[in-house]
Amino acid sequence: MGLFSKGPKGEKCKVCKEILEKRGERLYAMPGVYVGHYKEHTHGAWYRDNLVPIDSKAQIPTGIYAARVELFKCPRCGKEKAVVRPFLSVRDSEVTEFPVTLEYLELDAFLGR
Amino acid sequence: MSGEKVKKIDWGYTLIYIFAPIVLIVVGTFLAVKLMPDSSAGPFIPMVLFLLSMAWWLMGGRNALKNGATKLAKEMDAQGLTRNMTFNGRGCVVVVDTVHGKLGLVYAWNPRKQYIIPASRVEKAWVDDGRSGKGITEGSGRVSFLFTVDGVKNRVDTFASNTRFKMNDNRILTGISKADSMVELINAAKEAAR
Repeated sequence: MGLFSKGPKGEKCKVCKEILEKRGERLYAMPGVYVGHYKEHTHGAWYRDNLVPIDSKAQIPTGIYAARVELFKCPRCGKEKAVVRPFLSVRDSEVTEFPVTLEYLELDAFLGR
Repeated sequence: MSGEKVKKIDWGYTLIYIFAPIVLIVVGTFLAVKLMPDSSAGPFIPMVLFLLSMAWWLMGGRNALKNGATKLAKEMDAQGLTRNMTFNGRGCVVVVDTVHGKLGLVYAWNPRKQYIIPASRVEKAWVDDGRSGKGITEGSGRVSFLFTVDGVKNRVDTFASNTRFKMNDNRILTGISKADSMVELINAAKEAAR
């Protein structure tokens, strides 16, 4: 590591501060969220009720928000979390919103387990 | 309401909207000078009338359009229509019903008239992203969706600014997305009307 290196980047475990391993990424549409009406939600239950899984960006209706959900797991303590990255797909570009991190118990609700 | 030709401007309303406050200031000032020449309240009357006129010009038109849009929504509900999407533009409010193939319109310069027309009367709908310039100067300050009804072109801005932004700016992209979805809905309503 160099003098000015900030070290490895990535999501960290809140408990043991270990860099989390990315376990996968899924794409979801947010059918009720229209362009100009995006509102940040921090509760896992909202995502469980409102996200619809899709296979590709081509399936996102025009003017509807979508989200990439990244799943992480701590290699040391085994805790899991999900990072929701909402975006609006506009032709070949994307308007990205602030990511929302769902912690531990909320993750269960989100995944519907 | 659905058969008549769409009229974007009611000239009677427009002239009253622009000139009535001016007439009010002139007449009010004249009367204040004539009837209260020695009163200390005299100079304040033109000032109050001027402020009232400014308030009218700034908010009167917006409120008139808002009232027109409310009446349109009520009328559409009364007719059992579905309001899938309402777009409140500065110069025009557009309501799309993709179920029954109808379009509701109210114009800022003709807010007393609400139009509910079959979407089949829309000849063409498209998006203008306002792109101009080349290379690093390429950008836009206005994004709108346009549609023609009975040969009359309607432009509704989804984004407007006196500053030019790059085409990948979030404000421009959001405007494009809004315009794209409105054009898609208008075309869907047009299909439903057939």
